[in-house]
Amino acid sequence: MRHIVITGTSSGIGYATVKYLIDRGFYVFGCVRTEKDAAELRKAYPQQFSPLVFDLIDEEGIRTSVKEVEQHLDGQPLFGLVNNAAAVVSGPIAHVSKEDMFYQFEVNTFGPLNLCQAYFPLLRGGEGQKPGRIVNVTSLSGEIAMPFLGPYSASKRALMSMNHTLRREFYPYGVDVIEVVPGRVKTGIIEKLNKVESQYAGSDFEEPMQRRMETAMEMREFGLEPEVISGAIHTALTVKNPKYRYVKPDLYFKGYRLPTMLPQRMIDRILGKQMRLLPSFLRSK
Amino acid sequence: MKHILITGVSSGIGYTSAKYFIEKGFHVFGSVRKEADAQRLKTELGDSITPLLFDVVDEPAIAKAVEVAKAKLEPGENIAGLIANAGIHIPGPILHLSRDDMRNQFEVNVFGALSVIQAFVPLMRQTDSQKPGRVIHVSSTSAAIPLPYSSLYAATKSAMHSLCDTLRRELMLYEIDVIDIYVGPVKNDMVSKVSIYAERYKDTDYYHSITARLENALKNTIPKGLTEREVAKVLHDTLEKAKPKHRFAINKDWFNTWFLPNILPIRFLDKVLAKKLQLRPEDFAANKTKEKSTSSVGQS
Repeated sequence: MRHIVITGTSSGIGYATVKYLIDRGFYVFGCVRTEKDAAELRKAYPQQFSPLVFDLIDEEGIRTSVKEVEQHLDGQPLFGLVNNAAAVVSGPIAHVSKEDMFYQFEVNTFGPLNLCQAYFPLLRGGEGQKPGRIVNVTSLSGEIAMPFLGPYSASKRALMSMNHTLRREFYPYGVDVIEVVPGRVKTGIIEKLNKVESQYAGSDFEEPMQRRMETAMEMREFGLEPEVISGAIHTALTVKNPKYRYVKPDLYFKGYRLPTMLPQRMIDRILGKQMRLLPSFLRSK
Repeated sequence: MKHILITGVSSGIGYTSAKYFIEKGFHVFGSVRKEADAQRLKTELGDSITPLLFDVVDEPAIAKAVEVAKAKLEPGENIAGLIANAGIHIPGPILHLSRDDMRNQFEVNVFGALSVIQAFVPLMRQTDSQKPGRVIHVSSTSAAIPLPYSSLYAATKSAMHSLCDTLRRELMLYEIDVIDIYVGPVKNDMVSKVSIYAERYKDTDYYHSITARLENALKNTIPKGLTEREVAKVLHDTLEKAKPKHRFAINKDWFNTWFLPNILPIRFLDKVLAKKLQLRPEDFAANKTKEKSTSSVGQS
């Protein structure tokens, strides 16, 4: 049996991917923060799913989870590690606190790196065993930085960079590292954003921020089904010669090609107009 | 009087830039961590520099420095440029670096840089007589080409790449421009600092490869590097230019260290690097057998 460890399985891409992989015969360890988050999956798939309960900030918890998996594997190598879990910290970058920045990177960057380190011995396997693969789920935001998603975009960009160095440093061990880059996905991430808005009331960015939330809410029905990303993760884990990364934009041309191709200063102005970030908006106040 | 703030001016690019900007008639606020460095700068560079005593990770000290700078500015003056230069490099194979290494690396290069920018933005706003200031981030070509054993450093520069985009887009509201400059290899003493670290990984599989990377840097990359003064000139020109590019790379050995790695297919580049840095499975296997034979000799 092929075993996969995947983080952030309580909802969204993680949840969909657990089902996707189980349907294709994998055994899945799903990382969640509380026992409750795993109850449903555990009930649905008693034979092919076990939860690992830890927080990505908790190094000790990560180490304990490795021991659990090692015991279960009983000498078999780990087929794959999927770093999917992420948090979203948003806000005007001129006002985001250092604590928020730390939290964002602890979850989205340091956590996944720590997991790569901790699970490395299991992925590498023993003599004569085929080494496993790592799949890091980043985001198109790392490629195209949208206003008010500064901390999130930066943490994902850092993970994109790490994907290259991990792949190059793990190469002699045969452990491949592949990136999956989703565009907008229909998950609950937008609802998570809404809470922060009030924090920045009174700043010059209040109105642009509101504007941004409105467009985000209008767009919430648009986006990829999480299963599309699950498919990309499955491909990355199983094909013989995987690409180094799989980009899955929600809108290929408008959401990916155009913004990465056009002069960035032009994108700045388009976004500035859309989100009321042009200097004239402040002057007219 | 035109004022500029440069972080990390005790040595390297920061120091040379401070000198260069003073030659061009600027008044420089320069951040240093130690009182002794502050005194030294005063004696070496005179009245045109106002050392600000803060570590970029120390938010209260940054806030104090803002007050010092504010007191120094005449009415109607602002800070025309902020050069986010201070940075550290924690090298090593990622397998053997700790979570605290990650935290330290990011706290200085990313969160610290951001704290300084956030704190000084109010002093950079447009005044009746002066244009809004500009932020210039001193990045590295490793933001585009992340190399083994510089993983955390490269990741911080990538994070800053993204943050520079966000800052540029959001600070458009204040007409404060943000420019990200990828600086290629520089001829300086960085290497002597990092060469000590190789010994730390003596007992890991990566030791031979790390040594190869360092030797390669010493022999090929660094001698062909930019001088600090060349970098300082670019920083100055970028600040003075009417319409600077939002991001660009400066490089001496442009073809080999920039063009080629950016144009090659990634999986192919991986193989080239692996060969050059002895990071192939066969290299590790060969090292193993070599070590085994030497240790058996030792036993007999």
